[in-house]
Amino acid sequence: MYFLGIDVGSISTDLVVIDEGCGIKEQLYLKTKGRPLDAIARGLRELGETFDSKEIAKAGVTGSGRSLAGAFVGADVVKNEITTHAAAAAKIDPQVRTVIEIGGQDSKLILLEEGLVSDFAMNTVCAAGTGSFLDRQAERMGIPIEKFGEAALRGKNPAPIAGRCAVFAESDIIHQQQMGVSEENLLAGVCRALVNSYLSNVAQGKKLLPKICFQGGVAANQGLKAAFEEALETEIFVPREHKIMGAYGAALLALERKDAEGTAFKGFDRGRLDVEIRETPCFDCPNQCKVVRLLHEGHAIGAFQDRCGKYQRDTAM
Amino acid sequence: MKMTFPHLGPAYLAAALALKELGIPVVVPPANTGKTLEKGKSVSPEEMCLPFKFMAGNLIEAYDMGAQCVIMPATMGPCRLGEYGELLKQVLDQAGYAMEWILLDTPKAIGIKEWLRRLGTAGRESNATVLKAARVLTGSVQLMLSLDRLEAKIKEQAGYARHPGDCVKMLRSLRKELEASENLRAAGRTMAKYRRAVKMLPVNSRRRPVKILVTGEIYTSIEASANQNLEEQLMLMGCSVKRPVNISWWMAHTIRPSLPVPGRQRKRVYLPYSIGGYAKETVKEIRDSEEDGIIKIMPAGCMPEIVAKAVSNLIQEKEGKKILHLVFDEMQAAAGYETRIEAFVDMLERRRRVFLGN
Amino acid sequence: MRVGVPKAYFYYAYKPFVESFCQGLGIQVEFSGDTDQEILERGNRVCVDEACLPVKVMCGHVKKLADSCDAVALPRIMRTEFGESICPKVAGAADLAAASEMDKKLIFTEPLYLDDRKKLEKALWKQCKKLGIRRLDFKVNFLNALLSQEMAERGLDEEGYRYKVFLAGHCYNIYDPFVNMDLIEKLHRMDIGVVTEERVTRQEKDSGLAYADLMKKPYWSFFVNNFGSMRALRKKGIDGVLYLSSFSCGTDSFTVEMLKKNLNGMPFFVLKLDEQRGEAGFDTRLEAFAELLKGRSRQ
Repeated sequence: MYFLGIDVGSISTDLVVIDEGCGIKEQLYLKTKGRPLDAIARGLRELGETFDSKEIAKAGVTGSGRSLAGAFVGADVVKNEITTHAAAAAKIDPQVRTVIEIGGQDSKLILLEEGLVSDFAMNTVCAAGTGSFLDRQAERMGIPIEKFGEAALRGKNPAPIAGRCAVFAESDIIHQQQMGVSEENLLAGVCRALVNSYLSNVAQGKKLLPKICFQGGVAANQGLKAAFEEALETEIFVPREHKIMGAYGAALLALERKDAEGTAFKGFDRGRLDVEIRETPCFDCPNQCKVVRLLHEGHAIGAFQDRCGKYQRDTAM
Repeated sequence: MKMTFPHLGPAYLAAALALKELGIPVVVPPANTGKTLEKGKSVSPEEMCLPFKFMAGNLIEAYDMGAQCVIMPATMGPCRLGEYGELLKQVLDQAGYAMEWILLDTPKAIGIKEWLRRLGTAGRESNATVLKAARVLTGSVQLMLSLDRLEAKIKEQAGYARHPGDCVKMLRSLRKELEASENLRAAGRTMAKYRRAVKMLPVNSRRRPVKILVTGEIYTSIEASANQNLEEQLMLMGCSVKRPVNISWWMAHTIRPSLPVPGRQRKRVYLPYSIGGYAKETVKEIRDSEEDGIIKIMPAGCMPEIVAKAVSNLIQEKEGKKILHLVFDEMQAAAGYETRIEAFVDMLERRRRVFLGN
Repeated sequence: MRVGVPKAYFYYAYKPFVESFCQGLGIQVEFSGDTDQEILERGNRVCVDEACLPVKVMCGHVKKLADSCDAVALPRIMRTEFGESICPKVAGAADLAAASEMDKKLIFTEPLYLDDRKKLEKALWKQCKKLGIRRLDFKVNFLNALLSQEMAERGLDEEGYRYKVFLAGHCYNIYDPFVNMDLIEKLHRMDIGVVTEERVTRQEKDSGLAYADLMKKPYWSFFVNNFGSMRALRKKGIDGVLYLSSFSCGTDSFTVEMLKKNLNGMPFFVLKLDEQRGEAGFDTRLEAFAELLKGRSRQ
């Protein structure tokens, strides 16, 4: 029996299949590119080539697009990113006390106590402390994002850059560029600014106890890891699976439910359906939900954002 | 002269009934929506806090419905709420929504005589006797108190109900029926009906719900539209919700200091002095709470609550309380809040499952 | 015993009092020095995110002193000498700083009501007694300090520049050149002199307020000082008003708006400060203000 986990984020959509021993059987890391439904469908098709739909005992979804994913593939567990990331980190290394997760559109801090979340925080201000900010700066300087970390490591005198606000940071970078600061130092400065903004704005004086686990798509960036190590004066652990931790956590939570009967998972064939998304306002009550329905050849096959659950029940079959 | 007032949770129910019984024409602004906020924002300075923008929106909508006079309670700072009236009048006058204003400051600030005089100005068009006015005022205050009690009961019950959605529905229909009431007596009957209905709710007595204390800045606490329906969300997740900050609480805190009865108070370790707004009270609620978790809410930039937030961080560290801070602004991006609320409830649930072994 | 005094917040308003009071008390007093980048960064790290720049700067000063001193004096000013309150974040200064693990070291955190001399003396004495200061020394210093505060000529009223503007805002922004990025110096280079609210008498402020058609008596000293002074100075012929405000300042969101509505066409400009310190943008806006003044005088 296998368990499927899907993490639909702003930058990437990840799918993971695990067995009953929590071992990862298959993992996919796909770019969302603003079309989450297409990314999920592609992932399902790819997994469908290796696995049979009947082999999937339970499915879990997470990420900012979890409602959409849940409605589309049929999920037994729909969980927020904090719970799933924590579950994955605790599984990979029970010693972990602190999880730093930097995603595409938000960044999080999770504190663990004996494998359980004891406190967490998410960024509240703006995009400055997130992966999309790094992407944007890399793009502006014409450096492929994969090379970003390497180049930043070479910068020995990081340029001073304000990190709290993305707009200010960018004008600072432009200013520094015009002052003739080298690219390496500039990139190192960006890393340091991001770390500083994370610490003052997400961590906000919370105690980050070791072992510290750094995950999310951005964790591959060596420069950022080094900047965190410098600021926190401790070693930082980046798990091999750092990119797909959310999906792995969702699969683990699905596994927790293995004793319950049946599954909501609708099979890998969903990836082949031609699906149209339609937003329908519902006026049945003062909630006035903007219900999102998934239609295939005119028939509803899934829905979300209805607070009362009426549309979801109608399409559960 | 048609009277109106800005919204503050269910206060409009009692206020409208009282004015109606006294024969004073009244315009109740439509309930807060995104549109209200848009209208309010269009006349408000950008950095004013969220409640101001909602209130400005209320008054614009009321003006469009024919209101000519605003009656509004006020405090004496140092939080911004006390100066709301002044700035609201300025911005509305200049934007072409000129109305007459009656500011009901606290009796302590302006003296009970002046307070009664202002109340009298509000009632000048009524031909009710003083006796009747007193009776109606008492009646509406009582209605407010009992409504707060009943709502608190339903919110607590949500954790035990077989279908938590029932409680949400009940709260909504309760307000709707009260809104449609002809007079205070009819409202009293509605209340009685619902008090019975709460007792009849199907209950799952084996459930041990996650209990959550919601506290923080008063407007965002009381006005569900300003906190993205936080309490309903929690109830639908099967939590038992307690929110001590309501209209009754506010009345007690505003009126008590002006009475000659000295309240005896223990000196507190955390935030021992009143620094404005209700920061001191928020901290006290947090310190004394016995719930599983605390959600502390405030509008962005709220001065007293920023201090309360700093102090509650200290409490969290020293006393091991679980606190989630939510800051609401006019951006109204729901997704981020939902994730945090879900994660918080998840965290409390999972911790309890492990530590209590069930 | 070594007591630290942060050079932040209301130090700038009550500097004569503080400095005179600290002299000859028989305890060592250390001032935290001028604000710098390190202080700002430390404050930024320990302070709640939502706090405004002055609070963060204050926390940075306190944190710096906490390292080298046995105690840090952080007075809790509830009311100014005229009975107005300042803002919740000033009244709660000690609580904001205490939240960053410095609670044991803070002293003078009892409420101070500056409008009531007896109460003020009592509150200060209570703390001084604990520090082992002799009653007589305290009494002499207290009276001296009051006198110094009264006698001191505070504020600015500069002559000899082509233009003169009312520099409105809060003392800790106006007199901290690090925080305001040498604003006054920059103004001088543009041939602009400033006058500040300390040079407007209380009577002038009050009469300025009296005709403003307000519904209720304002309760913020910042409002009285800035709004009252602006109305008083308006008559004396100034060229414009420059308001130095911290980003997300609660009282300013009200005060600035009320000022705007009472200008009678006088040039008005708001400069926002925050921990970003984007100096290039700040200078550009300042130049735009100078152009505005020039443009008007040409007319």
